[in-house]
Amino acid sequence: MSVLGLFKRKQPKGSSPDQSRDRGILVFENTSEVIRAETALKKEGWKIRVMGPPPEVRSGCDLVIEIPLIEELSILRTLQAADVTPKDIVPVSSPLLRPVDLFQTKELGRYLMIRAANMKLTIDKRTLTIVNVSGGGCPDVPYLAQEMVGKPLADAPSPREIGHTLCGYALQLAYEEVKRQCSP
Amino acid sequence: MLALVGTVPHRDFPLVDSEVSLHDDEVCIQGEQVTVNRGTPALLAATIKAGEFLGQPAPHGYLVGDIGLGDGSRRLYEYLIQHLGESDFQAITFHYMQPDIGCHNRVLFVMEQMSERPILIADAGSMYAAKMSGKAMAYDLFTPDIGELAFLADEEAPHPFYTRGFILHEENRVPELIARAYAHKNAPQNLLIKGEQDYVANQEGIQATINHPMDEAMEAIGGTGDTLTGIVSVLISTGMEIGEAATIAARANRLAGHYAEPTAATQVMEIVSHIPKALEDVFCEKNR
Amino acid sequence: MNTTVDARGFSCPQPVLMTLDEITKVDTGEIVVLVDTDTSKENVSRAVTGKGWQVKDVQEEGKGYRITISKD
Repeated sequence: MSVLGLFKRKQPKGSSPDQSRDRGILVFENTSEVIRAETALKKEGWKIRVMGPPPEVRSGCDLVIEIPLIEELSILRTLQAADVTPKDIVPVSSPLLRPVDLFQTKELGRYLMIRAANMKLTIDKRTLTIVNVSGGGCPDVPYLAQEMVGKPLADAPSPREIGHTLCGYALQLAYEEVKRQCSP
Repeated sequence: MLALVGTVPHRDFPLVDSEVSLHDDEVCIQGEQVTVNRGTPALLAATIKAGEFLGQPAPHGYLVGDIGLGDGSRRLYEYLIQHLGESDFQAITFHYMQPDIGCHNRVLFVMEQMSERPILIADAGSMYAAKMSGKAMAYDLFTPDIGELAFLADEEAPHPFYTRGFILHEENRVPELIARAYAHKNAPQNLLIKGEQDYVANQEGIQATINHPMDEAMEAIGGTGDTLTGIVSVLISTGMEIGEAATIAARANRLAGHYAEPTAATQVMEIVSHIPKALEDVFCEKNR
Repeated sequence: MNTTVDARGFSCPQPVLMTLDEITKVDTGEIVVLVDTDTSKENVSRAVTGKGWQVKDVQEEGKGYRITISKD
């Protein structure tokens, strides 16, 4: 059984950003899920911390897991393999933030481009082939592009399967929206 | 002399610290090759082509393989902490790196201790790390796109994925976004904002707008932001004033794209090949 | 016919740009370029080589250099 971490006091607004801005919180339904998640993540070598939730996070459970926020997608995959799904994932520094849920669609002749947050996915509408990936800044973006560009939408690996970061997660949202718009 | 720091999307690519060259569509460094495509390889290729036109020495690359796990980036951060202090680059561009506040701050600390502090340029994950760390003001130039500008403007967002909707909705209100970013000290001395129109800005607001030629397809093409960052990095490393370098780079990048007759399926190497001609034409325009 | 580009007193990348400008005008022949720093000497030499011109001669002159470039 893990040791309960100290309750983390929220930084006052306007103070200089602390080291926690690149950390996120996994919120679970109950303590046994927290324990299963903690075990799975530590087994994969993730640097995590079990702690009490900040006041903004309403949870049935009095434990949350602090994770490196950037690698959210990779962490979700580890949890999926362990058959445990968090109720929510939020940034430590601003627990009320939600992932971007706005999409921008642009028709470029025979091509369709969808933007989600900082990521853009472009397909050929006629062949439903992925022709381009642009945007982003995390190292999995060029890797995802390498694996996806030139492949039919139906055959390409999804960013959720092979991406690792929040940029990968944003590309997943764009990918899902492309699939939604292009499905019969 | 210019240094470029970033990752390549091959897990086994070793950490390399050497001069970079371009052969056909491959970037070569310390016996390793990587095909030019979006990301740091596109930055490198653009820098080399622009540098050749300007008679600049080949840029220096600090590269490592990282597919998003962050392992390569952390090794490179550690390497930079150990070695960057001994260097004497005029400018350093930080590019695709896994954002990590602790590592970022340690590298920045090393650079701030240098007797001749280099000009610091950041884009991609390095820019995210700088903003996340609250150290954007320590830099001389960022090159965000409009979505990333909204991220800079959102003082709460740790990553563009979490930019709040009401700020994203303002993406057409670039002056307000710029002002908000500076108000919260989340912008460096200069901004070169890439988009349908490119903007050169500083604390005082927009200094220049560059919007022709306009090829809609450029937004869809992966790597066109990287080529812009590469061109402006080279110009800055020649000693050119940053605002002027940014304006010229924006125009040259658009021209290079235009010469490639782009569609949304165009790949970035086609644009890179037109950079020398584009720069030549931009400087000719200036001299007329 | 010999033309001279006097790039002394100009900072980077002006000496290169002035030389490339002259190259565009004459296309072939011989050009003398005057610069006043090591950096400009090296940059000009690299840039013209990339355009198919040869660096025929480099002489120290005053506090700078006289670079003679040519193309047939």
